[in-house]
Amino acid sequence: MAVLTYTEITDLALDALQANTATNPPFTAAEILRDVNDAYRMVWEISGGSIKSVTGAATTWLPAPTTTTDGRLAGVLTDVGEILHLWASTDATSIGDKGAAVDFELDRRELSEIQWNRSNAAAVGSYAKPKIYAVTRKDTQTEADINKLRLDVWPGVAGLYFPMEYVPQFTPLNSTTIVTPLVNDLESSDIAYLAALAMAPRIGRAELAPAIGMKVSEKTQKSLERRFSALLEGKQDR
Amino acid sequence: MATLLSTIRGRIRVMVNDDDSRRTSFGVVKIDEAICRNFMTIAGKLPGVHAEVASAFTIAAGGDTFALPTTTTAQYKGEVRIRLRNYGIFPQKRTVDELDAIRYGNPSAVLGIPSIFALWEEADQTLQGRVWPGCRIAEACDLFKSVVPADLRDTDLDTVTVSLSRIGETALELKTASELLLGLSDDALKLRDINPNVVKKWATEADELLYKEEARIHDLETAGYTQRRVP
Repeated sequence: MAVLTYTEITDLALDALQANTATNPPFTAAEILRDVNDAYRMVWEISGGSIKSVTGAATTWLPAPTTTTDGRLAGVLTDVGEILHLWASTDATSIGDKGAAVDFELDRRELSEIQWNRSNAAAVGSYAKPKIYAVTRKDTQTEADINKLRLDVWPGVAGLYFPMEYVPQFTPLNSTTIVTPLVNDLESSDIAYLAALAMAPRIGRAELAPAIGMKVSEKTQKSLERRFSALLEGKQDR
Repeated sequence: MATLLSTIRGRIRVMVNDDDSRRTSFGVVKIDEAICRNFMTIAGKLPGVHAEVASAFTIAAGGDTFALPTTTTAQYKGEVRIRLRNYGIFPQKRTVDELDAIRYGNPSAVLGIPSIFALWEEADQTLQGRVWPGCRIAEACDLFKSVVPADLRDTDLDTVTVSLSRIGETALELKTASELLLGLSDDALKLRDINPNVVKKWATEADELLYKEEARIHDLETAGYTQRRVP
């Protein structure tokens, strides 16, 4: 069974609601898209996200390569969810795959530790390559800069690129160009059923909810139970 | 034998289960500081490393004082022998008090071929010396010395090497790993899947290895004396 596309998901959801009709449809296309993306967001979060590799070129961090030893770089990407691995590399095309002679992985530390090291350089040893990094989200009022990061590395060294692997932020479906959710096959079905669960009360078919809920996969069911239990009752031991 | 400090750092990180770059407990700086500090501790316990320098310094004609050569990184550990190149003789080492007793009553230096010498350390750790009798002619001297190893932090820590034997390196790794873990709470150790008992075990193993290393060096340099462990 392949991962369902947006059309297949909406068909599955509307079938479960007994509302898959072209004549007087109970939901508009825009409403269906919103409900499906709501459900997709939950399933995507449970699924754990995916991993993306990028080079340290100017499309990722600026400047590229580094030109000073202050160890501060400005992020260009706006879809970084969580950085998993970051390297200091002498190769502009590396995605962290060029070997230990070219790529040097940095440890993630708090920004305060990096600031302390910068202020007390004489007290710590000297290094020829960066060893640690921290990322912070920039405060901005410019729309285009929302979600851009600031990268601090220590020690700062000129002439290096910083490729990374990261978990991207959630990208919703749009029914035209982004039509396949980034989840596995069972989870793509869960998106349909969770969307149907949300839509059922709005068309007076709440009685269908238990039957629809039974079709959600066990993994998603358990994750949602634990989450709602924590949110509503503060219990996290399920 | 010399091993990169970065290699020793990696071995220690594996020992303390700190080999996940996303969730480090100690950080590179803290581990390296611990390695450098324990290296100096071990260097302090072990016999000093030796070096022989030909024509290391010259005592001027008519003079009886000299200064041992210094560098910014090396410090003398204690053993010093000098050899007069003109005659191939080793003046015997005496205390400053003995030399002063011999010089008593001579307003100017008695000159000849030096047969004894004394040393003293000044505030900036430079070693000054005096020979007796003073030098009738300029005397070039060979120097045999024991030194304290240079502080590893004086060099780039990515390229510096740790000059210890295999046994010494293992002792350094055990000692540093146990010190790092000693700074963690029991809860933090459990999170890392480390039994707290391993801290004392590694520290004890490090001490035993250092004793063996000391014995090994003594075996190399002595002539058949029996080793006895004094707890």
